[in-house]
Amino acid sequence: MIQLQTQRRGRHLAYQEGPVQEFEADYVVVGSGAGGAAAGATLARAGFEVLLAERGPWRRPEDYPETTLGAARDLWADWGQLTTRGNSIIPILQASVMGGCTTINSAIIVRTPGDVLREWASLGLGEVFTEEAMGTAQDRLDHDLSVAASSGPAMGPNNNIFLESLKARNREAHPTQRAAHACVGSGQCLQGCRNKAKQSTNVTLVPEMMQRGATILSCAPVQKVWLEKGKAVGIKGRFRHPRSRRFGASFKVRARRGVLIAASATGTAPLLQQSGIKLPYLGEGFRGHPGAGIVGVYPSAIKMLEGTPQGSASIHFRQSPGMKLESLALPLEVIASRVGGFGTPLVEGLEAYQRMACWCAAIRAKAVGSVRRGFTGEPVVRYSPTKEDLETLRAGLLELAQMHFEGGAEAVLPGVHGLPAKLGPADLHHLENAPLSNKSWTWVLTHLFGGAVMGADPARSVVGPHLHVWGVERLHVVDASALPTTLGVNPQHTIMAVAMVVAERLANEEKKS
Amino acid sequence: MKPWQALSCRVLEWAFPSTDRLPPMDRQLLRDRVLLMCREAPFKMRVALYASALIFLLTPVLTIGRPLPATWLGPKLRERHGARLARHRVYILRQTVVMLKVVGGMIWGADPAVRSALQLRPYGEDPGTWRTS
Ligand SMILES: Cc1cc2nc3c(=O)[nH]c(=O)nc-3n(C[C@H](O)[C@H](O)[C@H](O)COP(=O)(O)OP(=O)(O)OC[C@H]3O[C@@H](n4cnc5c(N)ncnc54)[C@H](O)[C@@H]3O)c2cc1C
Ligand code: SF4
Repeated sequence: MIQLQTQRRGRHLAYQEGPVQEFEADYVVVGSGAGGAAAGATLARAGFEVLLAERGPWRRPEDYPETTLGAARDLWADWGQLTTRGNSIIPILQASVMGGCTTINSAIIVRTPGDVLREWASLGLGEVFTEEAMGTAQDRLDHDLSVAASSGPAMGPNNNIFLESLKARNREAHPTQRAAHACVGSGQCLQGCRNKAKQSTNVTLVPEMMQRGATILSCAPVQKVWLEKGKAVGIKGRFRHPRSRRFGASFKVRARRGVLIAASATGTAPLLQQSGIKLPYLGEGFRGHPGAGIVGVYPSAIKMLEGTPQGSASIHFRQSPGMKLESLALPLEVIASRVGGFGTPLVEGLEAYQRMACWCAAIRAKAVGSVRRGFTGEPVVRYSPTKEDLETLRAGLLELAQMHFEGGAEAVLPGVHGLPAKLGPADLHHLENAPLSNKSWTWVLTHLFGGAVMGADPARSVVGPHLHVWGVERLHVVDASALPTTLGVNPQHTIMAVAMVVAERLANEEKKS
Repeated sequence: MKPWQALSCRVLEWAFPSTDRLPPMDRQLLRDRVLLMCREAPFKMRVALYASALIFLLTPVLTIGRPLPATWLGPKLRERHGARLARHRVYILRQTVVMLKVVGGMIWGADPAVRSALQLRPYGEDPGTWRTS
């Protein structure tokens, strides 16, 4: 956990009405999620005056909703209604709140795999993101975010059966490392952690930035990067009321030294486009780890919500065929859409909720899509998993179904169109031969990458190896949108480390000059 | 309540009826939550909900061969219509049932009586607050 010494105090401004509000800072950061908070905190630690603008409100744990509907309204971007456009509709879950997706995620922490860094090196990025630099940043994050393996009350039957079933099948299995301090396993990470255990950036790095003198603007969507003569000199935006969504006062922030964008893989590219930046690769290279879950129905109570939602995982299949398996507790409200039928059969199916366990496979997908600014300013994501991705997902769900039966389930609910709603142990051939059509599967996207990818070649990237936007001075991208590849593991730790490495470098260079 | 909001409530009630073990969804809660969505949810979501309810109402002819609105069907036939719509070969038609289940599930699953029958902790109020200073 971060222990703060009182230094100069910053300030926080939420929704404002009235005349234009003007600010000035050394660095301006857009977005308070994994990337923005990590970069902002690094610059604030180096003694720079930082202003961070976040489009969502700043909710403290006591402000978090209890219900899933409340989470959709108060924490998720667009009430969770953002979807891909392609040959099927895939929901994209993102946050619009201080802390970004770290506020609603499961806080799983995985170090950047060496093979990913080697792949980046082959793209000309090896000089900056060395194993040493990333390792040092991740050591610091591990300490600051109280990273530890899930244990005790965080485990619960769902996570334990998942581990045992993996072991019984001779698969790699581990309790997840998580950024949580004294997690009591309330199973509510998706609604924000009311127990103050999860170390999301709204309760860690952002308050630290403020303690170090930063100005934090919440309810403050940035509409444009302010450019003058090929140089980023600030940002412009307009406060927006979190409830009525009415626009309030405009704001302008002048950046003395630079602007860092971390508005997420769905937000950064559209913001750069809106700012008039025209680069051939802007919006391209959108990638993800689309995933799907399979529910096991057991003869006795599992109580899925006892324990952390994602307390155990396996990287057995990370390299081939390219997926990560995880336990996943879903609230009753969400599981309703995964049970077949309508009316009485649907509710009768849901009567078994306390006997259900949900496990998921996140695919290291080959698909590449794009993200653009839509007509009304919303992101338009074009993305369709490939046939190979579907084959991987099918193999993943088959593995998970077998694990469920190994663990004692009496049936599984595959949620695949064209298959029976419920499969017994003798019915797995249905899953083996499930149709390879995107429209048949219930995917969801939570791990996103690209749109403003880094690279050594300006024709195939948007930012260079130091995350500076090609052709624009003093403008950097420090979030998931800069990652040029998928990772095959949970991305928060990599995004934060990348942002820290770049921010530290900026700070050192500025100090020298 | 506007007619399309009332229709949405009705279809959601059909989707999540009472069973031998579980009580019916609280009508007032359903009404309040649908109205909340109509007030605060993005336009796209509201339209998707109303359109899904309307499609449910008008398509029994495509699923069970009855040229009648779903309101005129008995509960058994209506459920058969719902189940067939959920498995319809036209992707966009079956997505409407997903939408109804997503929205209905969020309301039904938060109903204190349903939660109590499933031995789940009742939810408190969503404070809906945020830090202003
Ligand atoms: C449900 C869920 C579970 C997940 N679980 C895990 C996990 O357990 N472990 C893990 O490693 N990863 C997990 N992830 C993924 C991880 O949280 C994200 O990859 C990571 O947070 C992305 O960081 P980011 O900085 O790119 O974007 P975000 O964290 O999304 O932050 C972007 C921020 O920018 C703000 N913003 C956007 N546009 C603007 C604008 N115009 N002006 C001002 N602000 C703006 C947004 O409101 C948001 O707060 C999960 C994601 C989700 C959705
Ligand atoms: S499982 Fe509960 S206590 Fe643990 S981090 Fe998630 S919300 Fe917090």
